[in-house]
Amino acid sequence: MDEKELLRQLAKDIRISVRDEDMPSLCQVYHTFLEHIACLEKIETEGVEPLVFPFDVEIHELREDEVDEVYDIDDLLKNAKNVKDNQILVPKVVE
Amino acid sequence: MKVYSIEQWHDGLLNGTIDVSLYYQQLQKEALFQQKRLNALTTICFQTPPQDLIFNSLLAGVPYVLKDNICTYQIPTTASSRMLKDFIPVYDAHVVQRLKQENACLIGKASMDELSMGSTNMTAITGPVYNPWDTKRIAGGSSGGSASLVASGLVPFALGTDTGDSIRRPAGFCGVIGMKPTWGLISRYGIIPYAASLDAVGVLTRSVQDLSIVLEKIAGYDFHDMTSSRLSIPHYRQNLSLDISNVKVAIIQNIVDILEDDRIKTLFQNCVSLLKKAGATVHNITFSQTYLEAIFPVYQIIANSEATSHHASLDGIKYGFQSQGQNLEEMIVHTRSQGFHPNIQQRFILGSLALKQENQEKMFKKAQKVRRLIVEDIQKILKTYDIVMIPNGDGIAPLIEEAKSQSHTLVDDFLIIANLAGLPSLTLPCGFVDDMPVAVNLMGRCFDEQTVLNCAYTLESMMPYCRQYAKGERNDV
Repeated sequence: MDEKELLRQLAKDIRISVRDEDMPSLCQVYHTFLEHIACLEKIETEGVEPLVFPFDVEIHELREDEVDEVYDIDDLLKNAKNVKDNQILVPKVVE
Repeated sequence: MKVYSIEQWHDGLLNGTIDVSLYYQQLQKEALFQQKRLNALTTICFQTPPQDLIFNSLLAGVPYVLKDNICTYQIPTTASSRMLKDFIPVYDAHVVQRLKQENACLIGKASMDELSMGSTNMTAITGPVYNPWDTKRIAGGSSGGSASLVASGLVPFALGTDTGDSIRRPAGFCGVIGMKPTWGLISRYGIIPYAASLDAVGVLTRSVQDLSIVLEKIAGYDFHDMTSSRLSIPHYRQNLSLDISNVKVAIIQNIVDILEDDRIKTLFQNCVSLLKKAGATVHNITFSQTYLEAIFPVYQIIANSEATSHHASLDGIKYGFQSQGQNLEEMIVHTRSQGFHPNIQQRFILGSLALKQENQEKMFKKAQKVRRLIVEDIQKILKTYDIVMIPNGDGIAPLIEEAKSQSHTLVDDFLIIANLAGLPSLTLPCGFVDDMPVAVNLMGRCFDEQTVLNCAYTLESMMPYCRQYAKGERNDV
């Protein structure tokens, strides 16, 4: 797969369509990105654990399964472009 | 319109020398003037104080602005992106709830680089934000609107967010104080994210004292944010001290050596001399050049990857900009392709590359592993030293036409280490070059905001830049 094809496929995977006029700039940042990868490859990381957060933090906290906050349905639906009978309308999914 | 610090405002309310109603009338006019001059607001909302305002807090009646990625109930929150241009949140961010409890008054939402992804504040859908000291120059980003408005004297404080240097860079360019606290000190509930493992909410003010006041009010545990700290919050303002005789400061010499402008180097060396004069122990040390050069690549790979994942939910269906399509798939593709600026799309595409299952080990996880090595190195330094001090950048705010082509330097990159390691990091004005502000940066140990604040407070007391602002002339616009 050539470079442009690869980038278009990556974009497609995240639901983005790249315009032809934006491709040169995308290729440029892609090359910089590859330089970044190459820079890191030079650093020995055998046996090093990935650092996900800046420091150890307990993030798996369980609470009672109780309703604690309820948002107003009108507030929530106000942001959707197409609403009917308290449902968000989208183009037909199944033909 | 008179410009007040938070404490001056509070005293004025208590002794009756400030007429709140009159002040807010003048403030509205001033906001419109500064908006014409700086283009720093995305929404003007003016929650004027009630007639029976209770002066229960230092922040009671104090006007402020929020970066526009901080959710405000029933007030537009756009993240300066076309994708969210008409988004109305259904809840307040935790920090907004806290400020409401203090009776602080939100007067507007501040412009930012789209979705916080930028360092110039030239990518906002509402156009560039201008620097109050010279409107031909950028304010910096991504919290450029917040920095610009505090520097103009319109408000005594603003909140921003910082993923790479997004509070500290514009604070330095605009001559104000900006602090990114320890990761997890302030809840991020209700913040439109950039990269969760790096993002922090922070404060911009014109004095260290004001910063301490605001920080204390918004810091602390929030059960909505699983990463927020349960540690108790010290009385930062009450504990402010000019005694730094026990503080050990490390200067990263190989960062200082990179500086190209001798005038910036001289201003930095002046700060070193002032710290010594105040009794601090100051040593020059060297940071690993290999790790220094790896900071930006690690940041880019992690930030892009996390951003790609966070913003997968922006599809235009439930909220935000929506385009048309023959079917659901096409509609989402059109929405995302037209809703995000091409620069933002590029970041997502590269993030997608690093997250591909076949690339994860080589790209995303490799970056996380090098992150650990960099973090261990800076933590090792902070075992010996309380503070690491560096210049806040390698130059003054660039002219608008120069900003696009400017690349980052290793001096800029070192600010990012505070995000990789979650350290508190504060930027303080330390002088002027070509009539534009220059700043110094202080980093400390995680959750030791007080030592950082005390060093900044001491330096501030020995320099003439506390409470400075650039209001502009009426014929400026």
